[in-house]
Amino acid sequence: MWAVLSLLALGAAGYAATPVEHFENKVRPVLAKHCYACHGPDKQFSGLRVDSRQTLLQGGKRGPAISPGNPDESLLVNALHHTSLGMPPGYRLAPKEVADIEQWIKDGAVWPASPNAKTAARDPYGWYDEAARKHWAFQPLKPAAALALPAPKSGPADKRTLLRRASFVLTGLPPSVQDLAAFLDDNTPQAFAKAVDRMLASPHFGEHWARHWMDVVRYGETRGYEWNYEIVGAWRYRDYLIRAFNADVPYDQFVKEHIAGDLLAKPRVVNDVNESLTGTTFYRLGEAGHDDCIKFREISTDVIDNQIDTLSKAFQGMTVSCARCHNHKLDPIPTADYYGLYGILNSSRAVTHTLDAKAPLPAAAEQIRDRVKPAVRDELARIWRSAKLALPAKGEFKMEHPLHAWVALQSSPNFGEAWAKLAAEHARERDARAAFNKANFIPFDADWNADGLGLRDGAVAAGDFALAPEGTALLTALLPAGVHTNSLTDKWNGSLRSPLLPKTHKFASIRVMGGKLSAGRTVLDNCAIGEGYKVLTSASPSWLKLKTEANEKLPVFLEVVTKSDNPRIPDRPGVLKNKPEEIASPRSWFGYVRTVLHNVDESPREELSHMDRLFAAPVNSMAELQSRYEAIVQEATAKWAAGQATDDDVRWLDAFLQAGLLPNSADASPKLGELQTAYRKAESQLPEPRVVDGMGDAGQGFDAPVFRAGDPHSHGEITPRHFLSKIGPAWMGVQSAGSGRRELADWIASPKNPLTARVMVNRVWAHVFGTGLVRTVDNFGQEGEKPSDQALLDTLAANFMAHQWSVKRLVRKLVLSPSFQQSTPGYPLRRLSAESIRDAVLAASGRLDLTLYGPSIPPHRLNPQDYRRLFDGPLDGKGRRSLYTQITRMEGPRFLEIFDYPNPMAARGARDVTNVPAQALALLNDPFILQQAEVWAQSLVKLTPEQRIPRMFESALQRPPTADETDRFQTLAADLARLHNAPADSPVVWKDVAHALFNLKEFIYLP
Amino acid sequence: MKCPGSIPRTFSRRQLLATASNGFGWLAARGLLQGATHHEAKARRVLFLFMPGGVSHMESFDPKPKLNALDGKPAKLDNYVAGPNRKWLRCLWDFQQHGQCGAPVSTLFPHTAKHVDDLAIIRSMKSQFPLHARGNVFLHTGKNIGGFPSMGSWINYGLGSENKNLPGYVLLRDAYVPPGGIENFSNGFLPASHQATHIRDEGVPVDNITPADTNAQIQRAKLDAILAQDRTLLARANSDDAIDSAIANYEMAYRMQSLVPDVLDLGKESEATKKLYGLDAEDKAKRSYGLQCLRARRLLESGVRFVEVTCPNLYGQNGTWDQHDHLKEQHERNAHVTDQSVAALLTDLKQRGMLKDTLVLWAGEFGRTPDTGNGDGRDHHPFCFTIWMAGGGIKGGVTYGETDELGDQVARDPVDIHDLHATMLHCLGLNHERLTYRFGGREQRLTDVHGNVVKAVLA
Repeated sequence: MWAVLSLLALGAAGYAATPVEHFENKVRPVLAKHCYACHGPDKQFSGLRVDSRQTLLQGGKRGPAISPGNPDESLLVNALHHTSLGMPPGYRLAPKEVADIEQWIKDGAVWPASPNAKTAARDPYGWYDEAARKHWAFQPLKPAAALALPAPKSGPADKRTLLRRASFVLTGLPPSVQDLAAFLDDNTPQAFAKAVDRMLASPHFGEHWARHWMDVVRYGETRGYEWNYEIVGAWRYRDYLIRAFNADVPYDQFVKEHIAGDLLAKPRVVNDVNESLTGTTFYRLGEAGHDDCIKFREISTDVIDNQIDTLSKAFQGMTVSCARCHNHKLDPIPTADYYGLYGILNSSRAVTHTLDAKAPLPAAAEQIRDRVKPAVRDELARIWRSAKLALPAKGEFKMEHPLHAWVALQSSPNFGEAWAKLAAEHARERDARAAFNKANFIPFDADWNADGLGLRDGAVAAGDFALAPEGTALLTALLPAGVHTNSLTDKWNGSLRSPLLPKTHKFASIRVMGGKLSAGRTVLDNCAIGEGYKVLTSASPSWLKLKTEANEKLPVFLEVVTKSDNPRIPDRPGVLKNKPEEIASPRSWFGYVRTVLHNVDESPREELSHMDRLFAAPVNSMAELQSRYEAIVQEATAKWAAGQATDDDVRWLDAFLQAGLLPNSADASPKLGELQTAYRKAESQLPEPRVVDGMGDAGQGFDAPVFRAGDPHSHGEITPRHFLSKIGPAWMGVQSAGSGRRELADWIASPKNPLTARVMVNRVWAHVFGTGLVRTVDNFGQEGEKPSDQALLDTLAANFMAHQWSVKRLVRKLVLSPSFQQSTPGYPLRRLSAESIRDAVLAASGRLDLTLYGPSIPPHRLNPQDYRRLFDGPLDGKGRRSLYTQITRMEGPRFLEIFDYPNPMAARGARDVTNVPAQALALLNDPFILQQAEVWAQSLVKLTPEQRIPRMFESALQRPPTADETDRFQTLAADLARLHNAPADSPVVWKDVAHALFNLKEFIYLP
Repeated sequence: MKCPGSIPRTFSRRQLLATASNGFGWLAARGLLQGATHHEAKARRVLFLFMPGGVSHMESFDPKPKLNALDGKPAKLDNYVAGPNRKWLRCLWDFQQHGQCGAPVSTLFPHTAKHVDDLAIIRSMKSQFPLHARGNVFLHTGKNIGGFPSMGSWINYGLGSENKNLPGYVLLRDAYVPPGGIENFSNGFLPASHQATHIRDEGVPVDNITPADTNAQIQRAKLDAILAQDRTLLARANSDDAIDSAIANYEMAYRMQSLVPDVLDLGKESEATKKLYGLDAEDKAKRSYGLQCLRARRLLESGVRFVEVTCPNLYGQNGTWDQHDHLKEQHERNAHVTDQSVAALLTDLKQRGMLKDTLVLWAGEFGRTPDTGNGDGRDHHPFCFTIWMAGGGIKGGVTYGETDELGDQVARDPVDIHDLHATMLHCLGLNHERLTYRFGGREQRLTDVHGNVVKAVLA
């Protein structure tokens, strides 16, 4: 339509036009009409795009498409003439149109930045605005005056059926014997409501509904790809969900915690743990590659794409990822919206959060800090002041080491001459190094972001020290002024992250010390498990040189982390040669002093000014030199004792400490022994940090370019950070300095957002009734299905928001409705989920362990591959509920997968329910089933023969058997006894009867 | 390119019933009637010999004499492994011409060499990723990330099952799963009945296929009681389709317990056949691969639509053929383990008249670099590599495509993974643009929006 109008305008404009008018009237419309479909924003056949001057000049696979000023040398003209290649394919443009294009090229191929072009991009197909205006899901809610839940189609279900159904729907478990008895005995009208309230209050409600949500956020605990790196603390996110659903955290708060839990003005702190932080783990649960993300740019863009996909489906029921390479074809989501969100996520950082970093300091830590350490310092200083220094005659010491002079001057024939020479050399070298450093390095003093228990108190002054947790030594090091994780214990973690690096220098050098698998690295484009971290192995400060990749248009920052905060650890085989127990130990530490930027391919040279004090006045003999050393050490010790040590003093003292020249063991004095014991006792009581992968913010956010056709190497227009521009309330813009996630969270969790409440209410409906009011629970767009009853959906959504977004209240409302309480087929017959089948087996056998929370249990595997973190676990999963089974990518839990446990690659709000022979084979032959039949049989044989069949029916089906059924299974037991040639009471017989019960359809179906 | 999504398929009762009554059943592809194809099918089934890790193309089917001359000289390629220490590496195996077509094959593959007149060798394959996980998943699904159906699933979705009592997509493997994991063999968003059934070389071949009851009477007694009990439920639930199907699945499962082992039972194979496949070899890995290859033939014979065989991973690499070092020793052993059985399959299928309607694909995710960083191995090379096809719909004795004189880039007739998929589907009577499944907001295809049938290799 637009092209036609423009062509009409062309006729009116005539020929006397400026080049710009000529282009706008005669060229752009023709290109748009005939060429854009294959060489435009959506498709770039042969790599060519003809909707900008730049892309025409770049050309495609056959080279540049135009040569401004030379139509005859322009491939475009050649093609339009159908000489060597014929475009458009199958027909020719009118000769006049070709001539106009030739003229335009001859005139220099002007291509003004057109306001029309922008408008076109916002509404590329001309119907986005209409779709935004008309599609039901994008319109404000239209709630009815009163909630009208559908009338039941069948009569009420019997009490046992109802309670079994409610129990599986609410908790994923069969009802307990007590709950069932209480419900059956209660003949009041409130009996069911009371039973429902009991189950809503049960912690198992949270477990079951957490599991539902885990499908939506493609929950996995490893990153797949080649080596299947573990996602740090993924299970803590699962536990967070359980607590959140049990505590009925308002859904809008829950959404905000997911999107920006690290940025909330008032985070939800429960038992000293910042719960809100863990919400952001959802971003990190997807697949991720470990390779170099400069060589393989898609590694980071795919991670963000998966985040966009998950976020948009989970909270908005929108398939925003479809707009990665082209404008969304069905929903009004221009590519710019995708990259608006991309900018927000790319401005955020993949980090490891410490959940208890702001908890009050434990008493044991206070004791170490306020009592043990000052006493240690006093006592050591007392001893060091009177210590004789047994200086070594030999040793390899660099010039910056205090002992260098002592060794260098050994057995000099002429001490005075040698001294003078050495002093001169010192002065010369000192000045040369200082000059080199001054000329080649600039400080990078920006504020780093610090997290972790070990960094909770910030920087320490020079002279702080770390105590050894084991061995004979008391101190491990004296620390220079800086940020140190090990001031109280090396069990405590730390992460230090720099602001984004300027693109001015090729290298950054960080002055760090560290051990026990702490590391420094450059983080490129947020590749959390990217290559190239450097393990820190220096007990005293030294320079670590890192490349900044300044030539790459990527956000780059520096990071120094302890082991627990490094998502690459445990690393793949062969990278770290450490023993497994070293990898598993919580101990790891680092200290950080400062950073410089540079272009020379070396770090700053070690400065020598701290050695001036040795050369300050001449000495004439080794004896005098010894005295000089002792004087320096004593003076430094005195200052240290008084809390006034400088970095140079610390350097001296630490050098002597590390060289074993200063007393540093518990037997140096009885008091030290006591202090060492006191330290170690207190240290052993310190908690280990709770860390979890999440999303963080640091510094200024930045806008991302559109990647043309999704290609991260082909940058288009920079897109301001925003989200769905055509849907929902107007985007308020990013107002904070950060990534914009906080604004995104507010926008999505806004009551004005037409999708958020609808999508969640529909998810809840689907879990309660088996199918959503909108059956495509993750897609509310035009490709999705329409709601079967929009007024009902909207009313529920409005009520949901009006009642503090309470999920529990909504669930309660639905479960107490007559629709839920009717019998089948009014209420549809449903098969239990994979988890519920396994849980029900454990419940029936008596093996079920209802412990809540904690690290996951690896599934049982036929072929464990430890090097890919695919560990074997016990066949019965320790009897724990299925949601505690570890979800590993590359190979999932087999038993659960047979029953449609979803592949955790994308949001999956509704599972398939397949019906295949593999399921029958699993229940017939899987060793887990047989094992549980055996466990069950052990307790059955202890009962009287008459008790057994009724008890089995109660345990498995929550109902007594009919007389016929009792007969049937008694007969079976008798037959089995005969076939086994075993006594009727024998466990082998009852194992088989139990096995038969697990195979009843009634066991896995919920009428 | 990626357009993920997850509209779950919600099966109607009717569909459920159809699925169940077909056992490992299938939902007919859109626009396809049961058993119908888009055009005449030359092949009815597929045998995919997956060579994970990256076979060295210039040392197998694409000779590069120039490399011998340049051996040890500094190599300057502009790619992801480029660096100051790269050197050209000569071909470590000699080539000879074979068959009437005279196609050169290196001494790595003496057995396969005898079949060149049946092979269409494509030297101009291209992939996109020098990374195993992505390369493998791309080769299998046409997508570089997980969550999409493997070609075996697509083909079963398109053509349905020939034997309703057997799975349509079978993967024969050892304990090792190549990078990319189970994603390689996933049904993605297609119904679960199209996922690969894994048959392992050792121990119990298929999950849960061995009856837990060694006494068949005991199992039957239990099954009878279960059935009787289930019928009462059926009556109570007003004859529900889902329960009906679940009951039917038990009968199916019961039969499979004996049928699958029967298909895998080599008792009826002659000693000569076993020898042909190398089951008498001293090398245990070779015996294991031979066993899987012979099972592959038996499965194809029994009506399994898509059979895939992976290779033993002998050196703990990221794929059998991933020789970044010890190239000479390890490629040689890998070839020793696989070559005879691969050739045996071609011989055997031909003897039984099955080669003419069985499409055979021998391929890995990429090739190896013509240069070396350590003098002892080669690195990942997706820029060009060699695969071969044979059998139904394929013209034998053809060598298609060319690489440059160094084996670094495609020089003529590039074939990408989508083209390969399009060509395979074509042989099976399926138009790759019409084999679609609606998911995540669009009609999904194995070839996404790409793919051209390589007509030159068609019979």
